[in-house]
Amino acid sequence: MRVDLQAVISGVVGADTGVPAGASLRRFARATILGSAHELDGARAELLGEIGPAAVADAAAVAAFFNAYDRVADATGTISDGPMRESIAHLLPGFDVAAAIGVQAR
Amino acid sequence: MPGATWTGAERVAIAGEARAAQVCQLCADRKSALSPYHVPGEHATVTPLPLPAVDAVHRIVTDPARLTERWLRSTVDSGLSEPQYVELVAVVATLVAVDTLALALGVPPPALLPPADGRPSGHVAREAVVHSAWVPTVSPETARGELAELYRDRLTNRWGFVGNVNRALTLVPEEQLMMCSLLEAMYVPMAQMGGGGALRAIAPAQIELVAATVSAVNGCFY
Repeated sequence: MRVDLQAVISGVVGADTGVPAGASLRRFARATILGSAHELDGARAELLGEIGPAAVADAAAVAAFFNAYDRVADATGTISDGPMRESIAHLLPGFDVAAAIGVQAR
Repeated sequence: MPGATWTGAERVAIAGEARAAQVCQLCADRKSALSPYHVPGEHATVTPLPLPAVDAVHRIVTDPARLTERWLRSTVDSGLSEPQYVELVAVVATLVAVDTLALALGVPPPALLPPADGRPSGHVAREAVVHSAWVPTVSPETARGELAELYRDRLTNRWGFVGNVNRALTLVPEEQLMMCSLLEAMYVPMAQMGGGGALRAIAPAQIELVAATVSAVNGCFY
């Protein structure tokens, strides 16, 4: 499988990431965090039709966990890992992750 | 249940405050402000928790990406100890995980359970030092006892790497253990990272896509 990492990290929900059901998964994840009840209901129904209930349950669990884990990282001021930064630099030469998601690096 | 630094009743209050933060007008005003640190007012608090704890809970729930080390230092100077703060972070994160899962599935959030009696255990990792975060943490190299076992068996991925976020709560070992259990139930056990994804109904690439989308929306640099 070839995955477009720049599309993954971009804010464009409909971007083709190369991940199966990627657009629906991103719409569902984004609606879970930011969307109205109506948007979330629609995103969930779309994903349900595409990948089925067990997969929707797993996607919901991952989204929920990261909504929590992001808060652990932010609230404790956890610095990003050297190996992670090196991997990103290797996979996406010249790509500024902080600029892409609009935050300051620690 | 009582934690290391908070009683059971206080932990339930922290969870209740985390829910109240979602409808707090001060938090909404701060969220929309250019600087959240220059908006005066009072939180819509629903518990008798001390004000530094209330403020910490509300900010972690509603605007976590703009927390600063300076704010954390002022919170600690206001009387909330670092172990209390770390335990509070863990309780808030757990509540957020549970409530977000309910929201995503379209079911009501569960009611908070009545607190159990008992005193806090006081179990704090005295060997923790500031290294990989604003708060003290225990490194895998200096961990002892159950924390060493946790690192060895559950927090190290198959490439032998421990992410800094996976040690963020080690000042209060029970909370790191609890967060690890949550991680394994809702995401992927660290030892199986990069594996075939047989545990889940979605593929590893799909899991990471959801995770990356949520973290990007949250503006989480880590």
